Amino acid sequence: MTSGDVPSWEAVAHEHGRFIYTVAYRLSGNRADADDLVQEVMVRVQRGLATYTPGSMQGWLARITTNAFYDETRRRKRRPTIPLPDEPDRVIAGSLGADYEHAQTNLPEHVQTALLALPDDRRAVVVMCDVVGMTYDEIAATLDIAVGTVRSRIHRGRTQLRTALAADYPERGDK
Amino acid sequence: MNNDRLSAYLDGELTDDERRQLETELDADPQFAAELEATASIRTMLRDLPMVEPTPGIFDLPIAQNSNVVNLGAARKRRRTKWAATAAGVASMAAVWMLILGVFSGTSLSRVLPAVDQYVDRHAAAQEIADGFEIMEPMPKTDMPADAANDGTMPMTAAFHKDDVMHLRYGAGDHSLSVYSEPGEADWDALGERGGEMDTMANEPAWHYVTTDGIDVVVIERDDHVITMVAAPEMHEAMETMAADL
Repeated sequence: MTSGDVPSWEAVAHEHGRFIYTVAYRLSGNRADADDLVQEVMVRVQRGLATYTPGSMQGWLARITTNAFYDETRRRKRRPTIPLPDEPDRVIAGSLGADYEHAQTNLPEHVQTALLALPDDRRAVVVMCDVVGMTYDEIAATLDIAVGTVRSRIHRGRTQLRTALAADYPERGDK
Repeated sequence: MNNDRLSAYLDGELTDDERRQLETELDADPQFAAELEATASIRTMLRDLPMVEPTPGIFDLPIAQNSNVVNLGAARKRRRTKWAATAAGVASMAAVWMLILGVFSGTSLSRVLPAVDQYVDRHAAAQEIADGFEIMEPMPKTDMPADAANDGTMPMTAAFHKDDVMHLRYGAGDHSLSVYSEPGEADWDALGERGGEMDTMANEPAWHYVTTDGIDVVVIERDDHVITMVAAPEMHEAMETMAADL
């Protein structure tokens, strides 16, 4: 792909699929919700590619993923749903198995669990900053909030994580 | 003490003056310096989190290429189990709905107050190309089964759009139902100020209003869209079926 070319959806999925999925997983906290979020992101990305201006692809993808996450969060708050008992697609779709899940997620499990315990607004900015690597200005623009709010939420998020992880990682927790 | 400067310092987000001021404070206060170190450790831990391998196959066939029909996520599929049960009867309605949802660009939601009076007038007068609305072409086919009306569903008879508002009209015999869709989230407060009452439909919030002419108006939200249904009171069951199926 030359500079200035708009990539195809297939190229985006091939080159940035892991990135999209990682951001979705860190935001949503589990594979089922991450799968749903990625599905929504893919729809938005495909539509957005037509008007995409070549630039930071990962920043663009992170913005779409975070906005989709926020939309879903708002929707759930407005309309809490009751999970259905039979969810065969949840079992069949990934076919990953417990061992795979364990191997993939056990090491940072405590961090992920603590991350998930953060309020949505704090988790989003922490993920955007520390997982995606966005600047405060980029995060503020994406979420339409003040840079000062971004700064405050990031620090409060990290502080809350520090407290939560202190028992598991005393050498890294509160000192 | 404004400790969020510590994170900003680690992230390189302080101005030169702020950074110098903070470093002076850190040199003078070992406890403050220890807090910086602890914050830095958490920051490193987060940044060292591994990439997560996607669920196998999730990127393979997510979207019907060159089509407005998309494979919505598992959560949506779970919420729409009734679609599967009555697929034959409402398949065309589902296709239309996917088309409508396809218009939405996916940006942050805006609060929407549906133009209820205009929608009622359009419905009551069976208006077509009026108020800036244009006919939607091609109108999706509606191959409804012969007994479709028995479960409260009806064939679509016309489709219109104006900007990002869609107006679909369904009809069976002397009965008709108008469904308006626009992207955003409902401004429930503003709707409440004009009367009516908050209710539920298909176990989700719904605003219900009856005009002085006895026309039923129901506003619901579905998939980041505000849906306004307008019909005669005897069509309430059809509205409920529509709300449950969307």
